[in-house]
Amino acid sequence: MSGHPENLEAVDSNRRKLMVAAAAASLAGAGLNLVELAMAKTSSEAASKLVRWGLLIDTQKCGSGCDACVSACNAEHNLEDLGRPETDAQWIRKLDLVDQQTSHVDSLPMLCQHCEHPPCVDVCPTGASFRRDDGIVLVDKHTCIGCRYCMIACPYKARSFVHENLANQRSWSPRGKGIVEGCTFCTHRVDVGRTPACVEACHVEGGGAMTFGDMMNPDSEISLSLKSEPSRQIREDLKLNTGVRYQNV
Amino acid sequence: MLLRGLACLLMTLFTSVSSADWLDIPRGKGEQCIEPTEIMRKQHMEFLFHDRDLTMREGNRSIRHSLVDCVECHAQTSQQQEAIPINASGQFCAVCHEAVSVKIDCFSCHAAVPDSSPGYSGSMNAGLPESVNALMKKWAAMP
Repeated sequence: MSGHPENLEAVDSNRRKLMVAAAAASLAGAGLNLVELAMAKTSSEAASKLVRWGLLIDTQKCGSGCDACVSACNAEHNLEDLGRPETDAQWIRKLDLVDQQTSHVDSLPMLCQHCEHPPCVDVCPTGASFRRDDGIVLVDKHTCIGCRYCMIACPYKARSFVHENLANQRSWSPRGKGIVEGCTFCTHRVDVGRTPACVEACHVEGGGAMTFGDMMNPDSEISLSLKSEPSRQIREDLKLNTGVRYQNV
Repeated sequence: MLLRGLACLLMTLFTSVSSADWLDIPRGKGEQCIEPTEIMRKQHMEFLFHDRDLTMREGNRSIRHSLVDCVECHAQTSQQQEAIPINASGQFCAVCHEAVSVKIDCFSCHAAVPDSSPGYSGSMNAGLPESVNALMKKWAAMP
């Protein structure tokens, strides 16, 4: 009787090890399958946590005078110029960074950075600001009360507030007075396997500076570029882990 | 909530008193709506509430009840071949909503006419309304 419990324990411990190994193996297998599935998201599937959409912008290829991405965004979402630049909606804008010493100019588009830890979500009192499972940060316009805390919290000045009644909204981009809005990474396109309008425009009319893709997939173009070449997050000191990365700034 | 409750009450009273046949409701395209008319009359707002979260929060684009699809089938065209907003007086949404005095604000943000612009890039058709026949096929295939 005295040795028996020890033997049992030994057997149990071995079995536990075996079970842990088996579980790990099956998890790895399931994980791989899920990743493949996630890549092939159809329009009827929900956004997956195994995908993180990201955008890599090579500022060397981004021309100072070029605003193809901005006009594509405006056309896609019908962000009309109301002649009031201080309050007109702006989901993406071009910035020229001038080095004070050398006068070297870096030109880059600035938009919602789709942070992993978005300050806009932290401060939203109603839960309207949220992060989708695939990393896209959005405003639930049915829940937004227009308090604009998110606009103050965002270090990138990426959101706009609609101050007046609008007309001619696109069916895929509802917008209205009293609501905060910002870049959606063109979810209506991404959900059906297309790239955002700005990225398409950058390749068709601009310098091809933008690479859009899944940062969780190690074989995607964006992941390979991020791995092989240096890139930066704007305000990386805030540790927001942005979904938009820049090269050559 | 109060407004919704009131709306439901009014709608129930309204439909029990009359079959709404005395209202001149413009006909939609196609033979039959995605749900029987009696159900749509009472529950269309619930269908829309449910499915909007599926699309926006989860990114599922193949929802059965979509406001865009409502507009596609039910918006009328003027004699000048221009689309009339679905919430304009005498139009599909407005006829009943005016009769029961229930205000809708869907269309202060959502498009009240079918898309006339493809957005950026002419090749783009994601988000553009499908033809009515394509819609009927899509719905038939859905559970």
